[in-house]
Amino acid sequence: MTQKPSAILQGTLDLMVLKTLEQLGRLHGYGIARRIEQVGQQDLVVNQGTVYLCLVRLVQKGWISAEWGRSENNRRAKFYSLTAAGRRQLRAETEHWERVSGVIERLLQPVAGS
Amino acid sequence: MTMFLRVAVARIRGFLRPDGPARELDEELAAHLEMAIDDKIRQGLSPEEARRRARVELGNLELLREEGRAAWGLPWIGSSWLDVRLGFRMLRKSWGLSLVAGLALTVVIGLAAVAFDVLGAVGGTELPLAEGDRVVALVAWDAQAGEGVPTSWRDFERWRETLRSIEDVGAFRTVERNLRSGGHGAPGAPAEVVPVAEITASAFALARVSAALGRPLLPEDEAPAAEPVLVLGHEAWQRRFGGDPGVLGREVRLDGVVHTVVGVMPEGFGFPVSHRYWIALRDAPTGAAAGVAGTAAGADLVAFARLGPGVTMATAEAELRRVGLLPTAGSDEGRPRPAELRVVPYVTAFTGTVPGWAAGVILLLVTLLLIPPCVNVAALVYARTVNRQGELAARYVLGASRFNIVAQLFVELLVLAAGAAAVALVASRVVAWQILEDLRRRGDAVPFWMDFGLSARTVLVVAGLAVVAATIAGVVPALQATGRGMQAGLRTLSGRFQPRLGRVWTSLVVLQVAFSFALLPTAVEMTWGTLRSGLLGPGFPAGEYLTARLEAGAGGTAEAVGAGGDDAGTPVATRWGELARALAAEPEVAALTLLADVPGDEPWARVEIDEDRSHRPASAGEITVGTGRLARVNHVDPTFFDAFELPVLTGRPFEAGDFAGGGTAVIVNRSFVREVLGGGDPLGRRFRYPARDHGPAAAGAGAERWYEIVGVAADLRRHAGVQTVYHPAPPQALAAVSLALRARSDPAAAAAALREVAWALDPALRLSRVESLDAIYRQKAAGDYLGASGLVAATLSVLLLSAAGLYALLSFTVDRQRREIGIRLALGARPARLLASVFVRSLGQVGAGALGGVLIALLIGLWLPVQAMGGWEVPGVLPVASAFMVAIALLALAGPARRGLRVQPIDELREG
Repeated sequence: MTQKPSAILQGTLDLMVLKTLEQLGRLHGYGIARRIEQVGQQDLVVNQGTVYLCLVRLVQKGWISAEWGRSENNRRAKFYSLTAAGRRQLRAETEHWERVSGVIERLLQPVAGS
Repeated sequence: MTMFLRVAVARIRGFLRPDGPARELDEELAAHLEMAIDDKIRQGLSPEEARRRARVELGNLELLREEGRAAWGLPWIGSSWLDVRLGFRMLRKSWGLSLVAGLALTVVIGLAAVAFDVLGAVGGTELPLAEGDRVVALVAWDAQAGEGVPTSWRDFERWRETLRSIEDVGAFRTVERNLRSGGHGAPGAPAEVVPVAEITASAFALARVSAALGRPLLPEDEAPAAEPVLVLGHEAWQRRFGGDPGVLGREVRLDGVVHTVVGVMPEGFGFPVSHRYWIALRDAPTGAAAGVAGTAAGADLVAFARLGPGVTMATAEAELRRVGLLPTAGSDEGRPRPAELRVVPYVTAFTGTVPGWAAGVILLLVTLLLIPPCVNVAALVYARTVNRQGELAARYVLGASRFNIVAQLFVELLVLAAGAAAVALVASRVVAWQILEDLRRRGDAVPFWMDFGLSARTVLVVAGLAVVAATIAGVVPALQATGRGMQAGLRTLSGRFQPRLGRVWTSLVVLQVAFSFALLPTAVEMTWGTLRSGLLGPGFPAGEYLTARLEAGAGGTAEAVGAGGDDAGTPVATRWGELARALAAEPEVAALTLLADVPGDEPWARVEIDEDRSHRPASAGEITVGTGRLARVNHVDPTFFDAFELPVLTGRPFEAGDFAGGGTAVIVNRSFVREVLGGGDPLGRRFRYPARDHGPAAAGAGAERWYEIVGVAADLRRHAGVQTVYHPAPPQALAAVSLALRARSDPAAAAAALREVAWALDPALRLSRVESLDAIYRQKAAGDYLGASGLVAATLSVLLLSAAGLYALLSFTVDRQRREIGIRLALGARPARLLASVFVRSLGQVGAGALGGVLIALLIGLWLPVQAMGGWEVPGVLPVASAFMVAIALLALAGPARRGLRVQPIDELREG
């Protein structure tokens, strides 16, 4: 039986987008969506459209900036880059995520002797 | 916080140019699709398949656009706007409900607006002068008596010389003067009594306002030997001198003393209160005895100053207390008076301090007042909401939450309440304008700091009340109606549910009916009492009678003494004989009399009839002294009844002995016999003024004394006779005197003659408020109309609410029984009889309300002093008002009855 892919956790899409922009630098929406899909492989299902709503949110918060440019195959596209505030936010979110996932991991480990 | 602001700004920008972000998102999504399709074609898919998969992976485009718009803009504004539009539509659709509810809310919110307007005008302490908040009054406060002690000249002078924390220390007092243009012997306009500010020159420095023409008062004008000068206000200059630019240097006489006009102040300047004439306050302003407060006339100075730079009110007060008051001359051991010296904001010296909680209390009261109409409106809204359950259920099925539905109903009511609030604000402006007009007509100038303009606070309060009203009248019934669960609504959709008007709402409607029954008779009596004299007219040639206030010169200002004016405190009586003789010789004067108060506008007093001396046999349980009725009381001289052509119908007129003092004879009018004595022979009957009511002011020691009726005179105002008692009063007994004269042909000529004669006799003899009785009655009627229109609006709103409530209740009752009616019709029952049985049930509820209402109305009639409040007893008002309410009930039945008769048995059975 094949395992069903997990739905994305609430709030984690922001972190994914910020991290993608940190790793790959200036990128358009399609590139960000593809990158998240590639990393998630078959384990994660992301509705590509929701990435755009996430981008709107992050722009409003000032964590990323947007400008129009040309894609590699010369199509007009909107490119996003991480701002200084976004970088700080990414650091904070990463630390928070690591703490939470550490707790979950410890919780899920079998108790010694059981 | 910055994050919140950043997002808010971004959203507002998106909201203001909604096309920009939407277009950009569309472009972005299009680019995304093209890139995805290119990739998939490169991976070997056919173009169609590549396009299909790319679309699937991107998701629902429409939904994305919708969510994008929501993310960029202010989505709740869009949905609220929809609710607002729905609200307007519902207002139009249920116009009856809108009208009734709107009127009720307008009345209450309007009341609140007026209350806050007045509070803002009277309670405001802001002084519209440069750095007005630093202008203070120096007050000596007698805590025991709870009143201010007038400042004496000596104290003021000491303060002016000693105090260092304040500057521009000054003082003023208001005096009345006979003003006549034209100097020595020069002809001019007739004399008129004007309030004049005797004031120190420092006032003009303190106000930091320079003269529009010429100069203000200067310190040298205060020297006793200086030429008397006068500064005019802009309004006085316009009115009295026709705005003559050459007015400077003109001579005018104040109580006979020639003053030279040296300046005109700019428009609106009224410092210290509402003054239009200023003369210098001289040393020892009212003669020799002015040194001691409270012992000499004219010691009633008000001291003011400006706080020095950086000085607080507390510092200035501490210094003032250190300097203190001079000992009172003549008092034991020369101890200082027990007065506390205070430095207070200037305005509070005149208006007193309006406590901070006053606004809160008013707000609480009007909010409480808002509850009854709102609950009534809520009952109507509930009835309508229950009727609309089908529509609401449909919205619920289509995805609206309970919150959305309640919000929609709230916004619907908010639209209505906002409309009512707007009308209320306009109405409050009209009332404020009317009050100002009224004050102007009566010659009472409004203090220059009082601002009757629309304040932001009033607007806020009105807006808040509209929200409260919408919450009570919209949200409460909406929660109730939706709280029954949408299941009921869904059943409505299927036609199987008959909504019910709950017991609470039914009781409310019944209570409403009771309230209307109870209120109507009193409201009718009050309205009729207020309007009848204006509508019916006085019934005698009031236009031929002139009345005027007569006062002897307040005695001896320095100028008046210097000019040979009369000595202090000349009783009017000593001048009256001469004046009467001189006026009798005037061809224009037909009759002349002296009296304490203007006829038809005398003060009210409670009278207790001596039932022991009643000519009626007292029954066993009857109390000896009656509960007391109200009557107007006047004090008149021997010529009064002749001057007003009031024949003494029974008994005798006043005789010389009655005026000797200590007499107990009184004459009453016919209305007194009818209203107070209840008919019968009035002669010899006695009454008194209960001590607790202090009796009529001029009765003085006469309180608790028994007065005997010796005669009955005709009513002065034929159509609006009010029970009146006339006491005999020689001129010297009257503290305040009005004179009335009857003109032979031209009242204006008689007025001029009156002024001339008075001036010639003594320039200090002041005649004020020279008006025809007709004008006085008309002014009073104008004010009454305003009050009456408020009363009529309130009564009408209660009546309409009541009628609408009845209508809703009865139509529900009939609608609920449609099926039953259908079945019984099918079984052969007669429609008329069926309807009658339905109505009997409904009218039972109405009847319960009516009965309760009539009982309350009777109690109100017994306990409320309707007449003292300006009401007029209307015989049979209770049955007529009851019949009127029953007529409204029947009218409310007409609609449902028509629908009931149209019930088709087959349709009803099929629906069932």
